Amino acid sequence: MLWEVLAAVALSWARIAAALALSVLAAIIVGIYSGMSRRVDRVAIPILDVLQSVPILGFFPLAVYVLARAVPILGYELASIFLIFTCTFWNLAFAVYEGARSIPQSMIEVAELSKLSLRDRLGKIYVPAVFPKIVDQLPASLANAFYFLAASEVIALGEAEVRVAGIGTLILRYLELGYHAGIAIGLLATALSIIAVYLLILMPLISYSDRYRFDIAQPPAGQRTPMIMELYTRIKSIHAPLKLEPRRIAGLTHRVFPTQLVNIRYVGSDIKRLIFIVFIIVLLVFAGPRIYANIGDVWTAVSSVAGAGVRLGLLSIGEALAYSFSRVLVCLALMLAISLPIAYIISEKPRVRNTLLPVLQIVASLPSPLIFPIISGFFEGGTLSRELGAILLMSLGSVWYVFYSTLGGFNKVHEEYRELARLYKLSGFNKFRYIYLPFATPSMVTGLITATGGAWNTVIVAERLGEGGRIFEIQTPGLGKLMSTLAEMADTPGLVFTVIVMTVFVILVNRILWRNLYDYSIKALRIHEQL
Amino acid sequence: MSNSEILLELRNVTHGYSLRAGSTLKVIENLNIQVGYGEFLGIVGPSGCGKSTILRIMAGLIKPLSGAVIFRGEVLNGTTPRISLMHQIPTLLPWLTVRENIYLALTSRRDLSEREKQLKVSELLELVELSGYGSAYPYELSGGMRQRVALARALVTDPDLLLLDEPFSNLDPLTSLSLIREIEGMWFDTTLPPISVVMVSHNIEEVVMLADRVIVLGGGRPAKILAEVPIELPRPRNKKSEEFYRLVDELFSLIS
Repeated sequence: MLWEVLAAVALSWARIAAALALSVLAAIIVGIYSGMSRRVDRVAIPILDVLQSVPILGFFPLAVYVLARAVPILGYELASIFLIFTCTFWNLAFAVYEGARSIPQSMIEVAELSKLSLRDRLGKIYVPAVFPKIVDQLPASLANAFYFLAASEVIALGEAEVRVAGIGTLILRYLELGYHAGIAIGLLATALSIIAVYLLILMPLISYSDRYRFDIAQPPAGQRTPMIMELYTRIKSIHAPLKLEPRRIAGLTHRVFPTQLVNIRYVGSDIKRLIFIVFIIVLLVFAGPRIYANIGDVWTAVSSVAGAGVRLGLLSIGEALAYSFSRVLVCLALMLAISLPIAYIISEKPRVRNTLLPVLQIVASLPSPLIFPIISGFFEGGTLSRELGAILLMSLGSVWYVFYSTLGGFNKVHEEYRELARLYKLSGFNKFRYIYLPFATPSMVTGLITATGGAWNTVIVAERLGEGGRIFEIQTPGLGKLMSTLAEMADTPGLVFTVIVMTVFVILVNRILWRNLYDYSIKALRIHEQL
Repeated sequence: MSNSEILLELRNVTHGYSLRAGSTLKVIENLNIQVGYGEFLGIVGPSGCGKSTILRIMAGLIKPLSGAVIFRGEVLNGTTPRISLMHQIPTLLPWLTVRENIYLALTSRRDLSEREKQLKVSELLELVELSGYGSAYPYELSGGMRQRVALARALVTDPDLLLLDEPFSNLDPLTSLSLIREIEGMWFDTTLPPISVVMVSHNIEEVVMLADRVIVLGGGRPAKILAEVPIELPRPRNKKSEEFYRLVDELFSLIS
């Protein structure tokens, strides 16, 4: 049994590693490409934004259909990796984009003047500049991958259900068998493997990436290094040869794309547009005839989905949506209430930061489904208690987005402003109100936007949680509950309809509420005029 | 200088930063600096010689690794409203008006009533000739005006000692000259705070314009005091005078 668990953990990790590598690569390409050119930026970012807001469930049938059919044997594995990819990619892409955009104009002008090749531009400027941003996002991506671990290892294909081997499906099987010792060992092994990966790979990477940051202050001498830091400087020295240096990555790209790419000094905007058009044409040429050949099927599918909307009743769907939306809002308030004070304390007290942050980062990477059985058991009482349980489940998945972006915002407070607070002996509250909160607001809103997407994604799990024959569900309506019920009944048209409703709603709220809030906060705080 | 004439003193102060390998990079070692009553002290030196660190130690923002800061005969522990620091960049909060930015320095003062605080802010606004701009936001002001707001904020607490960290380095020459005149004017007016000023700069002309005495730092890390030069030119000083040139030249040759 132990071997079974270990093999399953290893398999899951292999899949997650592949998905993460793919995400990082794709994020670098998309993020840097969008960050480099305004034209691509205007197209790519809204697309990314919309795709990000689509609930993960929406990707499942599509990915499975395309990948499982296209590639015979490895198809299911690829589909699973793709599903993990949809959990880990977005925050990375946006972080890389932000990093690429925040490279000082003067540095880009220097590259322009010295006529650096594309390779040098990437290797010497862009990749090192976005490297810390990527490293910062890895824990969040990892946490998200584990959150949807079980979901990404079960691939539903019409009536059939395929489970790829992994710790998610293994624990699921143990749950169905009621094999409690197996569940405990499985969860423990997962947790330990995450801690190991964290200590051996992520922490050295984070400490290594510090040299690529512009804004890190040197710690004054005489301060005792916390034990955990010492531990990882030691670990770092052990596996120094494994270090993933941007320079090496650049060298790698050199080997992968030999001469042609290197000799193009700078891809001009016309060439970029051409590439984009060619891409669209290729897509149309390949996909067009198939769509046309199956136009009848497409029509049937569309009408059955529309029929499902009528069958389910628009009013009851609206009611479920309203309930779920209020849950999302309460969840956001809760996440803010938790994140603000903790992030504030961490950014204020270096000693707390050095000890608490690594611990938090490990906790963040633990799969929250680990806690699901505890929560569902604890909150089984009445209606209200179940509501609380569901909201807590939703928060667990996305609280980290809010926390890390708020912390990032607090860390943007320049040393001079911190000194100001000390010079004039501002009280904690005043310091928070006048200096920290305004500085952090834009990143905080960004975190809230991402967390909203996350909360909507987890609504499906949180509102109705089935485990080992026992079902924990809310007693009021909810869109997530509706969706998972429909999925259980294999009502694909109904499911597609609700996914569309959710997606449209999420995008609308995103456009109308969040974007305006973000713009308003930037304007009200006059951040763009920052001195 | 006898003890009664000293406002602030650094005694055998050593400070540095820890490096990766666990060793310490000493920026300053066994440094002794005295700031007299009513003195305008200039500290010059090449960038990276620890000028700003010295200023932050004087302000009580940094606790040195060893040595002591004596302010008015007592060991200084942490910041005090009696010592003000003006940063290189104006460090105004973009979301607060000019008035609110200056008021920020008085927010935590319990010995003043609300009316007294507002009165003080108005007084200082007038002093830096920005009376009409109280409700303006920093982004609506020019670079020189912003720095004047920062000066007003540094003075609103009636400090005994004003610390200036490269106050003119981000301004164009004309604006910086007018700000120099303003600080000089404030310095002549004995009814106004502060008692003493310490200004750190790498611009020797600015320092010769304003200082009574100049300390020249340099000699790599840790930095040493290379020379102490009294500036006894009559005020207001004329940049074009031969004496002025001679002093600037002398200090230049000491640094390079």
